[in-house]
Amino acid sequence: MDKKIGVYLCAGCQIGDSIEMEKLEKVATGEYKIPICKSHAAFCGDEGLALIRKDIESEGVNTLVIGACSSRAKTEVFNFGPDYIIERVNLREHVAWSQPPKNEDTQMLAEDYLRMGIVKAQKTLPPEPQQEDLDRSILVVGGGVTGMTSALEAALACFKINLVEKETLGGWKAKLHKVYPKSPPYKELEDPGVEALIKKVREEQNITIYEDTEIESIAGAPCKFEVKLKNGAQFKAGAIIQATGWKPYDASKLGHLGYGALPDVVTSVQLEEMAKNGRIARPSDGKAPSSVAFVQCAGSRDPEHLPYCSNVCCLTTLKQAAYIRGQGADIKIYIVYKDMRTPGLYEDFYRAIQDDPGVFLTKGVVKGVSPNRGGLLVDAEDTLLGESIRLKADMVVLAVGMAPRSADGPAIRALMDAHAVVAKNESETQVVEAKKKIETLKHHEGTSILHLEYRQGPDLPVLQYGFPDSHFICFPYETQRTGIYAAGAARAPMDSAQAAEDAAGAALKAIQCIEQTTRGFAAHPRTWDNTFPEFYLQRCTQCKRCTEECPFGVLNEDVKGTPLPNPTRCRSCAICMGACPERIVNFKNYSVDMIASMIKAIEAPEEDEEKPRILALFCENDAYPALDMAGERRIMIDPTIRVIPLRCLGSTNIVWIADALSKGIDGILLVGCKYGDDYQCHFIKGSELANRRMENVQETLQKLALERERVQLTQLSISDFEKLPQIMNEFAEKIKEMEPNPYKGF
Amino acid sequence: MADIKLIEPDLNFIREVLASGGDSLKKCFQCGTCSVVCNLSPEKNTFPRREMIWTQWGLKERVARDPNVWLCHQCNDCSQYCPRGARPGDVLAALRAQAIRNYAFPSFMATALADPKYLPILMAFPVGLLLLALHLTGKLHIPEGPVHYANMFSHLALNLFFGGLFFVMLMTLLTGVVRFWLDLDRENRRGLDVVTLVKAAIPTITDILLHRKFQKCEANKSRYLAHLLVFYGFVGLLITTAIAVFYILIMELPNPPAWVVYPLPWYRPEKFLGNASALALFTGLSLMIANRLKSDATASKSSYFDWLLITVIGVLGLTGVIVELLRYSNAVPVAYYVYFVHLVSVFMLLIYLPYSKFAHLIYRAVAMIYANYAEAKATVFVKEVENVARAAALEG
Repeated sequence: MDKKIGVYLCAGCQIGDSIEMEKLEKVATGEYKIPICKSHAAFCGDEGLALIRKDIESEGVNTLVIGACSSRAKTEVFNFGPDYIIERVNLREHVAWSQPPKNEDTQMLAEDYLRMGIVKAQKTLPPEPQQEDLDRSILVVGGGVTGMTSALEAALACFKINLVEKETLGGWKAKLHKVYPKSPPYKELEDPGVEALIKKVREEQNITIYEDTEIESIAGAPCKFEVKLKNGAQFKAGAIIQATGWKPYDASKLGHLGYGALPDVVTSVQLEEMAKNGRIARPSDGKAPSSVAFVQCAGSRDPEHLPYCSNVCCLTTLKQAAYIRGQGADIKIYIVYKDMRTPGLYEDFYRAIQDDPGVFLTKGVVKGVSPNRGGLLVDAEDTLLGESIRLKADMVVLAVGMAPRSADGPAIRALMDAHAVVAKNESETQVVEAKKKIETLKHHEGTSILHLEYRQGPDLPVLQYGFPDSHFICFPYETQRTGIYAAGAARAPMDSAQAAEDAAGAALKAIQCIEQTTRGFAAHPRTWDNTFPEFYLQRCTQCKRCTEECPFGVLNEDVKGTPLPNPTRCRSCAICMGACPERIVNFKNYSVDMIASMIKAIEAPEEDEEKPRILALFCENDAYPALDMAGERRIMIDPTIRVIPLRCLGSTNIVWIADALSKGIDGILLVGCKYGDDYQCHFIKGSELANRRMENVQETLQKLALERERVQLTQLSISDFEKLPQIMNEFAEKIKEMEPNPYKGF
Repeated sequence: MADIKLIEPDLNFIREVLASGGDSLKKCFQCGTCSVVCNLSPEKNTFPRREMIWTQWGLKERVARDPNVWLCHQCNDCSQYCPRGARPGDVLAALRAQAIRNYAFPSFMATALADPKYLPILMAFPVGLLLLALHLTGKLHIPEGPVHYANMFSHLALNLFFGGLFFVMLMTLLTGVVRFWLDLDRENRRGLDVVTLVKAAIPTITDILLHRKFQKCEANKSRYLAHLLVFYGFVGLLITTAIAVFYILIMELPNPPAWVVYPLPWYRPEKFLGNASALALFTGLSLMIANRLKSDATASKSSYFDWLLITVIGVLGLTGVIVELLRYSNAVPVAYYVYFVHLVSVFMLLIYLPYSKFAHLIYRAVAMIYANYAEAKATVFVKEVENVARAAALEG
């Protein structure tokens, strides 16, 4: 593209009161020799915009550097179409609103920002649209309530669905006798009503159903998935919804509650089966029970079993209590719980069952179940009756929790890699290590569900309890693989009402992915981004850092280990760009050279002027908006700091640190989103990777006889914007206390 | 696990409680707000939270022998604050009714007093007895002359009749009360400590006389005044009656003093006491009825058991005043009919005492005395232990 740059400096919103506009213009016209550089009192108004448009039409300006408000403000105003490169320089929130006016340091800050903006515009290349044959159908894995609902919702939005179900349509709900009420007044049990849903799915023309079969393999990427089923069927898919549901916690691990040894101790699942078959009776002698004890949280909320709460067991027990009470007015039901969890309006259902005089509820800890002359004794401590109690019961029902039907993709891959090492038998120590790994991971053998042909693993990565989920507030229904969306009990323990909602959410996400991908844009969260990582593979050294560190498994590998990118899997975070030590990964509008040039454009005054310079790399997701918000509140920031927004802190390439230090910059502050178990990082582990890389950098700093504290990484969430000025100013103070960078002026 | 107790809920007991005013029982979810709010609940051994769950679990024995059930004065502060609408105040009222039934002897009498279908028989019985007594004394006709009730029922006959029945009632009441005490004191292995008992009884009686517990009600402040008036109305009428009996006896003597007269004219101070007491009784009773008829959360739920007592007292007081007025106006034969009704209501109040709500006067007093007694004994016990320890330390 033949670039014609125009620089437009807005003096509105107190920018003109804060800095000398003429001096600023000189940076563009004098230092960078850009002929077209104009000022106006308000470029966002009709007059200002007309001025810009005139230059576009008559002067052929196609690259605009607009020094005005933050790039997050007035996006619809400063939008001239996809054919123009627009670079927004933040002179308002980051200069006029957070610095003292008409001040030498303020002026220097504004000038540095303009320099960086111009350099960025110079280095930006227009994106190249990618045209290819893209599939728009949706694969739904799992034919229960969740799978069927998401299929129907997407079908009604005119998408073609392929629904794959291991057995027959219906899922767990079809096995229930009755369900607890899902609508006011929440007093009566209802029929599950799955038949109606199944009928709708079978009659829907847009849905093709494959029953009694499973996935054989899925290769490719969003809008290019190639799906093979075990029964031989093959088709393409645009996006995938995993609605594989749940399985009950393995009660054989609950021997301390009598399961296994005592035949009349059953799980809630087994009780439901009895109810469905018409009669609840003791397995030992077939007699109807005159008293039944329910043990809640059996193997749940327990670090030895399932550490979490499964959300629906309390309601299920109340429902099953109603079943049994219906068999006789004098039957006694005991319910011993850790807490009675009936969220939201289900509280009314709890009240309805509570009102039954034959239902006895108490908090307590069940210590043991023992036989007693054909019956059972349940011992519980810490009860509301104020003492340890012993209850006589003809049957005991264990309310077991829900475990997801999912597979841990990275764990399976690690297991396969360990097997490969043992097979290769190259090094004694490696084989010993590998064998140890196999021991810890062998329970993942054969668990794969999606059989993805992804180098990072054949299934989705899972969170701490084995659920293939993401941070629900930030990234609802997303998983760590683009184009694959988990919904229903596979994602988190829930009942059928919540699962139906979940299904609709996942269907919407699948549709979002297809619509975005077919237009050439990233699915989420960078929905405006139509650039893709480009690999200059001639210089690749097969170090595999990009392959391993990509959070979304974009890169497969060839035999040698050279990365094979699948662009539609990509979310454009540029973590691969930050990882590569050879710097061969770049984007058209975001490259290693671009940011390095921006850093070199910063003016670092000589040592004797006593004006230190700090580079701040801010993730544009939470940190940059937080700084905008601080500016809106007119909170003052130290004038030595120059902020460069990054797509993700994980895209930080180490060479930028070296470039900054050799330029004479005294300190580098990185601010990004929270990582860890409760991560908020929009690209899952970007800030975590940056942190690890910075730890390595600090070692290098020490070797160069520079202080470790010159480079600092801070986690911040947007709700903590009030802390950000303090963090920045404290870092600036710390740097000022150190000696100036000895490499200044080289 | 030490001290594990086998729990076997009595489903019928629960159904009875639900039917006798405690129908909101099952709404309780044991938050404990009631025990915190209750001003009458002691610091340790609070109520009514535990009583609610014991009742929900049908632990009839445990509730029957629980003194806390009687420490409650049905302020309904707890019902006002209960977030579930479980109304512990009303549940405890139902539990008290159950406790009276539990200790009643013979037990069929308790059933009779609790069910409205037996009311005709309960009224017919005293009517029949009185008619029999009148027949035996040869007075089954309206006496002539100015109204003198002694002409219908001689003082001797009256006193023998009611005295004898009263004695029988006391015996049956005592069996219940003694069983109650033994149940309360079941943990005790050392026998009755009479000294401590007397020491405990004194502050209890003071509390009752001053109605200190009623003063602690916040939701239902009018209960204090209402019960105070009814209580002292009764006491006043009791004293008046005692004076009357005394005068009657004196008048049997050969040379009674001139100022001893029976029946008394209206301007006499003894009569004044009686009438003032009747007024207090009516005022108090009206307040009680008004409280029971209001519809906000502080109102008590009233069952047949409650209304029966209120009605009998009302009829008693009303007929008593009318009987007096009819004597002054010499309204024959109406006066004697009303007097007959008056005697029937006296019977229903006093002779049915152990089985009706009126039994609360003895059960509550005994429970309150027991609560103080048990605390005093515990303190004594602790002191004894300390003495023994000190002695041992000195020796060792």
